Amino acid sequence: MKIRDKKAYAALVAAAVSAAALPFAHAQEAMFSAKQLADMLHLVMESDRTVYTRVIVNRLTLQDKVITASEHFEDDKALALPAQMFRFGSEMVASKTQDFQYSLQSLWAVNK
Amino acid sequence: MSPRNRRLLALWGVSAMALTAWLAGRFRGTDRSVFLPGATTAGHYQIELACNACHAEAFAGPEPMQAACVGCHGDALTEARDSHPQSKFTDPRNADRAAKLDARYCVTCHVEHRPEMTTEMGLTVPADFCVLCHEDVGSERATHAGLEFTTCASSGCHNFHDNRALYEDFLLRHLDEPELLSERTLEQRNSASILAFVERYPRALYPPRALTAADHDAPAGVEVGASVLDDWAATAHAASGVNCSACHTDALSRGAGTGAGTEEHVPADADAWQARPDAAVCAGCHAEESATFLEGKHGMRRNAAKLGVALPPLTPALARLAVRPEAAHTEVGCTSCHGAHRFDTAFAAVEGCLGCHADEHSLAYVSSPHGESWARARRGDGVAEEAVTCATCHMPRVSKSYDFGAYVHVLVQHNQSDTLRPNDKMLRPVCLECHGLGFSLNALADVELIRNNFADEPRVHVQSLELAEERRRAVELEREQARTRAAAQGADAVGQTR
Repeated sequence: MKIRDKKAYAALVAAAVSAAALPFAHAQEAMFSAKQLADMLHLVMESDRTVYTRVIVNRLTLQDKVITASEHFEDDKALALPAQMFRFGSEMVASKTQDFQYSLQSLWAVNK
Repeated sequence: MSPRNRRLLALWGVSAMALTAWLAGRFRGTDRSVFLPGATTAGHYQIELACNACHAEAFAGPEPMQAACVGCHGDALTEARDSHPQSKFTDPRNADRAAKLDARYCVTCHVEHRPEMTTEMGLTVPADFCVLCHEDVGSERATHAGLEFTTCASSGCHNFHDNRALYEDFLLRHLDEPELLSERTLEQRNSASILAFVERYPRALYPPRALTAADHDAPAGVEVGASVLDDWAATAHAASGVNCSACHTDALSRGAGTGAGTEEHVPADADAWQARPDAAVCAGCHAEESATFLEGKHGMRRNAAKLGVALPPLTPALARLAVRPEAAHTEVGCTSCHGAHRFDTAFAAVEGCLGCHADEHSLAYVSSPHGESWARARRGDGVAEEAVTCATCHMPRVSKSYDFGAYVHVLVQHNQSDTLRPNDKMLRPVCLECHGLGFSLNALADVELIRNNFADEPRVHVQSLELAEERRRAVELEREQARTRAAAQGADAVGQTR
């Protein structure tokens, strides 16, 4: 695993989940607070990314050494970096709804 | 009211009604050119009379038009791994940037019908628009300090959308490549070798086997000339068992047909015979080629699915490029380039193009190094895999993987506009098959060299490779210094502990 990914992982802990939580503004009786929803979303995001990092990337690149992970994964025939996997998910969400957005925040170009 | 004023009022009324009636007639007709607010860009003028293709809804805000843009260009942008997708500008973190350049909408940068402010690639914003978001690039990258923002895209270094052949790691991978690569192998056709994998191939009706002129299945009563049969017998169609009825009848769609010389043989129906099959028949088997043809300038007028209406076929007379006057009224379709019955792809790859195109670049082809490579291969004293035709560059063969890699089909990208603007889109599918990246970047940036069809050496130098290498060296140095500092701090810490 590259140092870049470790940095990005650290940044994930501080990921800014900007949940506007618009549905709550319109709900008659909110079952969750906006913070609870944001925390739940964060939990899912962090867990998915951790699982991808450990079960897919680390296993195949560090343990089994059968493939590498690369930012240019298509050209390099490699795995997408965990930070990219996270970003692709956030971009797909953004393409489906304007109600909330999330992103991985760090100074690395991939997360800018 | 005086009699004179009454006459003037009546004249005004009659004139207004006549004008209204005339405009209504033009609006309801096929020629709506009177409503064009200004000359249309090179990319759209061929379809400018299909107004609703872009102006999908009146008074509905920017969204319907954006949807129309994405409807035609969205796939290409996805394929290009768009560096500035809409999602970048809907991201709240970039709200300040979107306020300066609202790139959520294509029309922010590509306004139509404004020729007085339109530059290359239909761009209608000032050439230094990159500064709006990247003004501090010089402080982030020392190599870029002091560069003019008008040069970002015009120097051959960056594109707004497609940077697949321009990103830094790609440049670094292609450092120090020679002008001409030692291995130059262009993609070759492979349809015959993958037939067994293509499930939809109508092998029951047309078993893959070589047919001769004597095997033709044109029904009795249909006169077929000897030259037509000779042409057909020389094609890949005959070599793979595709008989007359496959194109001239509805055999494929109705499930009946021929297996000439086999037990499944069903004679073609003379009543269903079509003397001049249309492009839909070709598309029945050559779906990818047909689809890409309809996306390019040659076929876009016929793309009813995208335009909402099928305009008359393109004729060279409509072109803004120089064309041969004798071909001016040829309707462009499958057979205008491939020739009915003969379907000679070698002809289509050069003579088919030069039969219409007469601009400087086209006319210079035959005597260019690329043209000479093609002539050598035609004479039999050259390598076919290295012969560069018009189609090699403008309609490149591309590999497409099916069934998760079960087989790869090499097909021809018939959208000749796909890699035309900006021209470094041509790098990966075309130039880099034979040439090094540095040479290719320089060649594509040299307008005069393109005009004479690459007859000599590039006189323009693109700095991308040097800048990328310079930055790599700087980063490596920085890392090395950091390691040295860390090691020194570690030694100090050990010393203090002791």
